[in-house]
Amino acid sequence: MVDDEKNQKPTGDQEYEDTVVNIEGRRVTVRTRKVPPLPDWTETEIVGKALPRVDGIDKITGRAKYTYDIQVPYMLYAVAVRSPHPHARVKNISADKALAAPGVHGVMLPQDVASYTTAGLPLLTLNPKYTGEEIAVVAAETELQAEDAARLVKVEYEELPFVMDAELSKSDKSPVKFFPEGNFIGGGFGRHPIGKPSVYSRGDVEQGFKDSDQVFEETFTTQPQQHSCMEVHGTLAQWDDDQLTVWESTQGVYGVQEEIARVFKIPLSSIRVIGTHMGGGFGSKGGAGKQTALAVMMAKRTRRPVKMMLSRHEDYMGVYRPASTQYFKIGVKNDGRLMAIQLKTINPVGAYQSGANWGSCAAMTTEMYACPNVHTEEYAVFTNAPTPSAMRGPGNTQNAWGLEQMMDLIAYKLNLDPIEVRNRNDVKVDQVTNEPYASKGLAECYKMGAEKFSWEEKRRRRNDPAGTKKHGVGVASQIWGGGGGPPATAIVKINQDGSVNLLTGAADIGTGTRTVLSQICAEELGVPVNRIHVTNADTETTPYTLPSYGSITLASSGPAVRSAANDAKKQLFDLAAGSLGVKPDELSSKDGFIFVTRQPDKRMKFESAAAGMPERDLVGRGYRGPNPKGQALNAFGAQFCEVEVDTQTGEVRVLKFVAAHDSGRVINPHTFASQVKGGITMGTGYALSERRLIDGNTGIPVAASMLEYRPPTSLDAPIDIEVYSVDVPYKANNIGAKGVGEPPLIATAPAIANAVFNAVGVRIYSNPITPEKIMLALRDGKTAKQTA
Amino acid sequence: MTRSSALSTTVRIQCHVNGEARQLEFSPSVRLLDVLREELHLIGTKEGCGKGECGACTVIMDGRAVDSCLVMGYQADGSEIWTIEGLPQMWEMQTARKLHPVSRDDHEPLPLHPLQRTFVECGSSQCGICIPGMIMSSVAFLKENPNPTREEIRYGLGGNLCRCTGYVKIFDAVEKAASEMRAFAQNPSQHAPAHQRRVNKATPRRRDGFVASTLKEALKILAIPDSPTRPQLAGGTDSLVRAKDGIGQPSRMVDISRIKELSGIKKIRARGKRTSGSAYPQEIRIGAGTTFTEVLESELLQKYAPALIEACAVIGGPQIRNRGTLGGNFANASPAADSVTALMSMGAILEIASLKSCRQVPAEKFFLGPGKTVLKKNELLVAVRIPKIPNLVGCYLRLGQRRAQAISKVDVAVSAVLKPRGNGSSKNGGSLFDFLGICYGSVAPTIFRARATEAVLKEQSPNPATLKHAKETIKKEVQPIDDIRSTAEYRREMSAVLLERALRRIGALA
Ligand SMILES: Cc1cc2nc3c(=O)[nH]c(=O)nc-3n(C[C@H](O)[C@H](O)[C@H](O)COP(=O)(O)OP(=O)(O)OC[C@H]3O[C@@H](n4cnc5c(N)ncnc54)[C@H](O)[C@@H]3O)c2cc1C
Ligand code: FES
Ligand code: FES
Repeated sequence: MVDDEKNQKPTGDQEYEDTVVNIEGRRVTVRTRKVPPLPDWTETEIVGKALPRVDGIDKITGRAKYTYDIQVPYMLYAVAVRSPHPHARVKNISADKALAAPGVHGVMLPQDVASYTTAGLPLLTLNPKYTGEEIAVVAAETELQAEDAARLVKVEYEELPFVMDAELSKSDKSPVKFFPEGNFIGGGFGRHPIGKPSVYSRGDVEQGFKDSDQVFEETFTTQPQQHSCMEVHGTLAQWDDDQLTVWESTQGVYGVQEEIARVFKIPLSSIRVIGTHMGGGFGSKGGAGKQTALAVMMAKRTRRPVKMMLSRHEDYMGVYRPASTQYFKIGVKNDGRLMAIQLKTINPVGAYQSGANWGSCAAMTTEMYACPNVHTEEYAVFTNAPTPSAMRGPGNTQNAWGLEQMMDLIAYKLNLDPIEVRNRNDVKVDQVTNEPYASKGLAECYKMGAEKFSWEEKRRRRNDPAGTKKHGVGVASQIWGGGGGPPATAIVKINQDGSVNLLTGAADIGTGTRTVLSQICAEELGVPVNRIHVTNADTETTPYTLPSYGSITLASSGPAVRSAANDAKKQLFDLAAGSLGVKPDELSSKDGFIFVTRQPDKRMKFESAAAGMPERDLVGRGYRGPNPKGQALNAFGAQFCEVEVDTQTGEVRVLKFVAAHDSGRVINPHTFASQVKGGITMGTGYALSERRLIDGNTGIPVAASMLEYRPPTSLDAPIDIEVYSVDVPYKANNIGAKGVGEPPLIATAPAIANAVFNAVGVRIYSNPITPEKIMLALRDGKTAKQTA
Repeated sequence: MTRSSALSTTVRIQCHVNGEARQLEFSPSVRLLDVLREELHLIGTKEGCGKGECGACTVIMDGRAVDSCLVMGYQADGSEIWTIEGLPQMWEMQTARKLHPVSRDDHEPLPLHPLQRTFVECGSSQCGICIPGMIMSSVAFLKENPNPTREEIRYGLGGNLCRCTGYVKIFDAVEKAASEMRAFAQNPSQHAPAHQRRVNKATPRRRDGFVASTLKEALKILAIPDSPTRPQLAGGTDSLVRAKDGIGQPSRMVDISRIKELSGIKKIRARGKRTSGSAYPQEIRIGAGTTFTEVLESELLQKYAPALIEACAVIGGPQIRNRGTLGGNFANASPAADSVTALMSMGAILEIASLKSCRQVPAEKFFLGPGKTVLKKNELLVAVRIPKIPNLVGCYLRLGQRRAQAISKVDVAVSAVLKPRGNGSSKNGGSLFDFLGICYGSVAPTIFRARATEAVLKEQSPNPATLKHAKETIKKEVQPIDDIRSTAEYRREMSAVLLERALRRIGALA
C-alpha cells in the first residue's frame, strides 16, 4: 500500500486517541487514529444531488444477487428441527430415519455442537426454552428433502412449565426459575447483576414532584415488532480445504467474520464473508446468527457447501423488538416546564441473558427534554419467548410511544400547543453526559414541519359533530445517535484510464450506502459518479468497518471515503503538478479536470493525469478519525400527521405525514427521502397493525406469517408523505452528515396516536391502535388499555 | 413418505418463457417459482413467503400477474410466462420496435422496459428484493388500466409488500411509466400489434396424471377409493398455502383448473323453484373454476350480481384474485370466504357432481362447520347458479385486518329488489323489498343467511324503529368469537353498523 513512512511505523500515542461512538444507544469507547482535517465542503457539485442509485439497474433487471440467490455446485440445504414446546427437556432424540431419507447427507444433534455458542446462545439445545428453538439440523440435496427429513428426526420431549407473562415471571409466583437470583436483570448493555433493575438518576425526583404544579401518571405498553425483512435470514457456507467462504445476508460482514473466528477458533484470514446485496435488515442482521454457525459446521461435516435460509415462518418465530410496559410519572409547572420524570419499564426479553441487551427503553426519556430531576428503572424480564434483537431505533422507538404521548397529554391538560410545550423544554446539552450537542436543529424541525403541514390551521379546524369520520392532527419528536465513528477504513484506487474503484466494508442494506459513498468519492476527486465503481461488504477485498447499524454507516464510512479520495487525489496532483508546471497544493479538480486553482483554464483531464502514473494505478487510503471531544452527536426530527378516524368502526386512515429531520448535510435527497418515507411506513405498521402474538396458554406464536403479522401494504401506508431536511450545519465529521436510518421510525407511532386523540378524544395507550380498541374507548368514553 | 420420493417420476411440460419456447422436465413437487429459479436460473423472481402473501415471486402467466409460489410447475404447461428478465423483450414485441438503449455508465447500453427505467429514475428501490415482483405487477396492472389514478395504483399493487420504501416512490414510477407508455400507444406509427404469438393454452392432454382436462377424468380419479392422487388444485391459493405449512402434498394433487366444464359464466333457463323469494325464469351459471378476476370482468355479473362484484374486488390482492376460484372459496369452507357471503345473499345453488350422479344444494345448506361441507370424497363442485333478478341491487362490506391481503373480521352482503317507491305499500307499513338476502361472514362457524333480520326488514316499513329492531336482531343472530384477528364484541357491534351502512348503500334507507 502506498503511504508515507510515518503511518507505517508502529503506532505511537501521538497518532491515536480514544473516542466515543454511539451505537444503537450505547456509548462505546474506541481507540482510533487521528486523521488530518479536511476543509468543509462549501459548494458541492455531486454531494447533495438527487442522483439515481448506482445499483438501481441491477435491482430492476433482477440481476442483483442476494445471498438467497447464490447457487454453488454440490450445495446442500439445511433445515432446523425446532422445539414445538415453549419449555421442555429432550428425553430422547433419534436421527436414524432422517439419515436414511432420500438425499440426506448429514444430521447434527445438540451433542455435536455442545461446545459452541453464538451471541450467548446455544446452537442446538436439549433444553429448549421457547417454541421454535433449534434442536437439530438436517442437510439434504434439496430444500424439500431437508424439510421432509427434518420431520423424521424423532424427538421425545418432557414438557416443562413455562411463563409468558413478564409480571408473572418477575413475581415469586413464576412457574419457571431462569436463574437462582431471579427472573430479571437490568435492561441494556453493560454488566448488570441478576435480580436488580438498571437505574439512572439525576437530581431529586421527589423534590421535583413537590415543586410541580401538576403531576401526571400513565402507563403505556408496546407490542413486539418484527423486522419482516423481505429477504429472510440466511447463510451459504463453503469450505475449500481450510478456507471458508460465507455468503450472508448481513448488515456487517466483519462482525460475521469475527464471530465465526471466535466460535470456531480459526484465523480471520481463512474466512471470507460476502454480503454485497442484501434484502433488508432493520437491526436483525447485525452479526452472525445461529444459522451462520450451523451452516459452517454442517458444511465442514458434509464436505459440501451448505445453504441455510430460514423460511418466513421461522423468521417470524425468531427475532423482534421486545415489548415494553412503561410506567410514567411526570411533574410539570403550569407553563409546561418539566420538573421531574420517573419512569419504570418492564421489558420481556426471552429466555437468555443476552436478550437483556435490548431490554431497555428509557434512554429517550433521560435526554429528549430539559428536566432537572429524572429517575428511571428498567427491568429486563426473562420469559419463554425467543431472544430479541436490535430493531430500527431500539429503545427510543418503544419509549417515544410513551414519552411523546405524555407530552401531548400534558399539552392538552395545560391547554398549550403540543409544539409549545416541546419548545419550552428544549435543551442544548445532553443532560446525561453534560456535553453540548454538536448541532441541534429540533426547533427548526418544529418550525419547518409546522409550516409545511399548516399545523396552526389544521389544529383549529373542527369536525362536524354529526359526522362519523373525524379528522385529527398530531405531532411527535425524536432523538437518536447517528454521529458514527471509527473504525472505518476506505480504499480508493485510481486506474490508468482514470476510472476509480472504491472499496468499502460497509453493507448497503437498502439505504443507498453504495450510492452516497460514490457521491462522496466523486465529489472529493472531482470526477463524475459514473467513473466510480464501488465494491462493498466483502471481507477479502474491502477494508474493515463497523456494521451498518445504529444509523452510523454514512457518518462512519463517509468521512473515511472522503479521506481516502483525498489521499488518492493528492497523489495524483503530485503527478499532475509537474505537467502543469505548478506546485501540487495549487491544484483543484472538478468535472473530470485537474486545474490550477487560481487559473482554471490551465487544466488537464483527470484521465490524462492518470495515464501518467508510473505504477499504472495508485491507491488512496482513508480512515475515519475520532469524534470531537466533549460534544454530543445526535440526529433530531419532528413528524406531523393527519388521520381520519371512523367513529362507527374505529378504522384509522393515515392521510398525511410531514417529516422534518435534522441529519446534517443531506448527501442525496432521493435516498434521504426514501429512508424517511420507509421509516414512516414501518412506524405506521407499529402504530396500527403489526404485532407478534404468542398464545399465552400454549406458548406458541400464532401470527407467524405476513398475513397475520400484517405489515402495511400499499393500501395501508400513509397516503401522502412529505419529507424535509432542515440543513443545520454540522461539523463533527468531514462530510457534515449524521445518520437518518432509524430516526424516521421513532416519532411516527406516537404522532399517529396523538392525532387519533385529537380526532376522537380518546387516547390509546397500547399499540397497535386497532379498531377494536378505539371502539372500546369510545364506548367507555375513556381509554383502552387491553390488547386485541 | 417424502414429497420428493412419493413419486419418483418427473413431469414434462412445454411452455414459453420470456418469449422462448421451452421444454422442461422436473419433479412434480416443485413450484413454478422453483422451475424459474433453479431450472432456468431466472433469479430475479424472489421468494418472500412462499404463501401468496408478499408478491415477491410475481410473474406474468398468460397475461395475468400470479404468485409463482402458488403455481405448481406442472400447472404451467402450455402457458406463456414472463419474468423480470424478459421485460425488455416483451416491450420490444409489444411495440414492434427495437428499444432505445439506456446507458448505464455511459458505456454498456441496456434496453429496458419503461417501467424498469422509471423505477430507476424515481429512485423507487431500496434493498430491491421486492422490486422485480413490484414491476411485474405494475406491468400486468398497466395492461388492464393504462391510465390509472394514484388510488388505483395503490389498489393494483395491493398484493406486493415492500418493507423498505413506503411505496410512495414506487407509485411515482408507475405513474410516470404509464404516461410514457400511453404516449407511445397513441402514436400508431410506432405501434404495431405484435405480441399475438400466444401459445395455445390448455393442452387438453393428460400429462403424467397431474392435470385433469375433463370433468369426467377428474371424477374418475375421485371415484377410485384409495387413489394416491386427488383432484384438489384449482387456483391453489388455499391448498398450496397449506402445503407450504406441511399439510398435503402437491405431488399428489391433480390440477382441475384446466377443466372446460368448470369454466364459463352464462345465462340459462331456471331449473326449479327457489327456496327463497319468488322464482325467476332465468339463472346465471358460473363455473366453479371461475376466478375472482373473471367474475370482476364479467358484464353479466356486473349487472346482475353487484354484491359479488364488490366482494371479489376486495379479496386478497390482484395475484390472489387472478388465481383463486369460487369453487375453492366454497370448498375451503372458511367462515371468511368473501365471495360465498355475496353468492349466498343472492340465493345461490351449487351443482355438485360425482361420476355417477349430480345433485343441487342451496349454498345455505352446503356448510356443516368451519372447513366442513356436504361434499363427499368422490364429488366435485361444478358450478354456482344464481337467479337472474331484474333490478337487483346489492352491496358487500367488510372490515379486514388491513386494506389489502387481509382476511375479513366481519363482512356482510346484501342483495335486494326494492319495490318501486310510492306504490303505497312501503308508505303504509308494507315491505320495501320484493327480494332480500342478507348474509354474514366471519361472525359464526359458517357463513350464514340472517333470516331473522331479513324478516324484520321485510315485514315492517323501513322507518328508524325498524332499523333499530333489525340491528338488535342481527346482534342476536350472529355468534362471533374472540380470536387473533378481532373480538366477539367488536364483531357483534360491527354486524349492526355494517347492516345499516349496507342498507343505506342500496337505497333501502332514507
Ligand atoms: C394472501 C391471501 C389472501 C387471501 N384473501 C382472501 C380474502 O380476502 N377473501 C377470501 O375469501 N379468501 C381469501 N384467500 C383464500 C383463497 O384465495 C380463497 O379461498 C380462494 O377462493 C381459494 O380458491 P382456489 O381456487 O385457490 O382453491 P384451491 O387452493 O385450489 O383449493 C382449495 C380447496 O378447495 C377444493 N376445491 C377447489 N375447487 C373445487 C371444486 N370445484 N370442487 C370441489 N373442491 C374444490 C380443493 O380440493 C382444496 O381443498 C386468500 C388467500 C391468500 C393466500
Ligand atoms: S413468495 Fe410471497 S407471494 Fe410468493
Ligand atoms: S425495497 Fe426492500 S423490500 Fe422493497
